[in-house]
Amino acid sequence: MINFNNITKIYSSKASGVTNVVALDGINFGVQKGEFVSVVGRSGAGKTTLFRMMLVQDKPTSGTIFFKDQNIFRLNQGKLNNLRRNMGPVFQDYKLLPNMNVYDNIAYVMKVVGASDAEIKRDVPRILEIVELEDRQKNLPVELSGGECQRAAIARALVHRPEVVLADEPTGNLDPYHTLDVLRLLLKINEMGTTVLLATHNREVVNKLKKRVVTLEKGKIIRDEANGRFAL
Amino acid sequence: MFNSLKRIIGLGWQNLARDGGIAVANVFIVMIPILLTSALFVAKDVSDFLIDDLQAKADISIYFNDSVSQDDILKVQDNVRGIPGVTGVEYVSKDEALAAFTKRHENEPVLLESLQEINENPFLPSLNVNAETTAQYEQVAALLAGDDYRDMVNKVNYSEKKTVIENIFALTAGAQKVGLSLFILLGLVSVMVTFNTVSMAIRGRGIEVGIQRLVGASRWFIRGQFLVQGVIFGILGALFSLFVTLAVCWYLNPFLATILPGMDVWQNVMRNLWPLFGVQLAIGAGLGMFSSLIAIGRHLKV
Ligand SMILES: Nc1ncnc2c1ncn2[C@@H]1O[C@H](COP(=O)(O)OP(=O)(O)OP(=O)(O)O)[C@@H](O)[C@H]1O
Ligand SMILES: [Mg+2]
Repeated sequence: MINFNNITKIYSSKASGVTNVVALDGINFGVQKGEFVSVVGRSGAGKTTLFRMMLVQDKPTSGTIFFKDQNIFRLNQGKLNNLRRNMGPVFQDYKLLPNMNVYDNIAYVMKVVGASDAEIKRDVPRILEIVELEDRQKNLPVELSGGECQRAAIARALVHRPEVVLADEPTGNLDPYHTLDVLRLLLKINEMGTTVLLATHNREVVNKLKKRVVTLEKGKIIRDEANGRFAL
Repeated sequence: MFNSLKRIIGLGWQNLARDGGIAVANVFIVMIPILLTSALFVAKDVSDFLIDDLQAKADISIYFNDSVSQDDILKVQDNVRGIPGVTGVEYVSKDEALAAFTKRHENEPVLLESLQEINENPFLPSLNVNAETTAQYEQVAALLAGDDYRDMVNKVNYSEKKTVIENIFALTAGAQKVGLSLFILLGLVSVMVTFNTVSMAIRGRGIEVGIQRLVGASRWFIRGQFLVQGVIFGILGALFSLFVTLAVCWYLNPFLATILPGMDVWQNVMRNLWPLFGVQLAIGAGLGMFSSLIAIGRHLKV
């Protein structure tokens, strides 16, 4: 379903003047529909950059990504919006809407995908219960702890049942109890047919999953194993 | 479609509510051009009333000497009727003139007493002529200046009224011209202020807009919130303006009624409530939408 085709990303920053940071270097791999793939690698290996490409937050220096045989960098605005609505991104820095409370943040994506009021009223409380944020739903993101923000971000990514979940370090701020919960949740939606891409540098998480593991190092894939283990 | 419109409006309202103080200030500024238009609306009403009133009264009053007989006057009446454009000629006898005066001033005993002291009827018989346009004055004047009538006529009362009407027309036209320039100026100010508020909102929500795009919100879903913001300023401005207009008319009505007997501003405004509110709403929402659209064009790159 997703094919990374020779993706190279070299950052050059105008603001800092730092040029030629190679974040991704000739990435090739494919993800089948319904797969659960962990992308692991040290900090700075290029995991987030890979996810940024998938959401077309940024374009690669060279190479392309195909989603259902469509070059995602050639989509018009309408199709790009549709692509993004099909993805459930959990951002490493959460990216919650700062001026909306938790409930409205989650409801917002449902509004974007055109869900009915009834669906919103039904699904938002349900996902809030799953991530255990019912009693924080009226709070603004700044009023939440890191872990709570992370769970809100996860809830927002899942609530509209996207085809693909892109979870960038979704357990980075969670205690072991909530980490386990989130993993169970990801496994469960994966069982129900959702494709999951998980970026993490958490050894335990990866080893517990017993799913395919793609290992990145300095922007290159150094290992790609089914039922892989965290080995760095 | 309807659903997403409802949502865009909801999000726009949320946006606006977040910086309430600025919103209130903005609504006040938007009210200024709306109120100005409302004032012109009401002023037009007053001048219409004045002109109607003056025109409905006899345009020309021809007073005859006491010595002229009724029969002769009625002959003149027939002749004046023959002039094209003359819509009515009414004969008022000495007695009728006295009766009308007495009735008009029944509450002014001093005036009536002095009338009685004269002990005779001081009024002259007259013909009241109604004409379609002021141009007919000349023809009536020409007729009366003829040899047949010159000696019968005591005085003709027409030129003053004509000037008054023309003055009112000129005044109204002048007021409308000044009003229009003022409207353009104040409208421009309100557009600039709203443009500024919406621009600030857009720039303050750069991060938010970025996130909204990342979760796949469409162009108009994002733009709509800011568009709605300007339009809401306009609608609120129109609503408040309506209240202000009504309140002012309510308070001014008794005063105007004493200056211009028969004039009822309140009643006129109430009768034209919907057209008035329609104009206010159109101006408010129009200016608001226009300001938002330029702000969006300038600052929102989605
Ligand atoms: N906007 C940017 N400009 C310049 N360099 C960047 C930019 N974003 C990322 N990089 C660099 O690209 C490399 C890959 O970064 P990336 O964020 O993809 O790493 P990561 O694997 O997600 O790391 P982590 O596990 O810490 O989140 C890093 O060396 C980083 O410094
Ligand atoms: Mg990262």
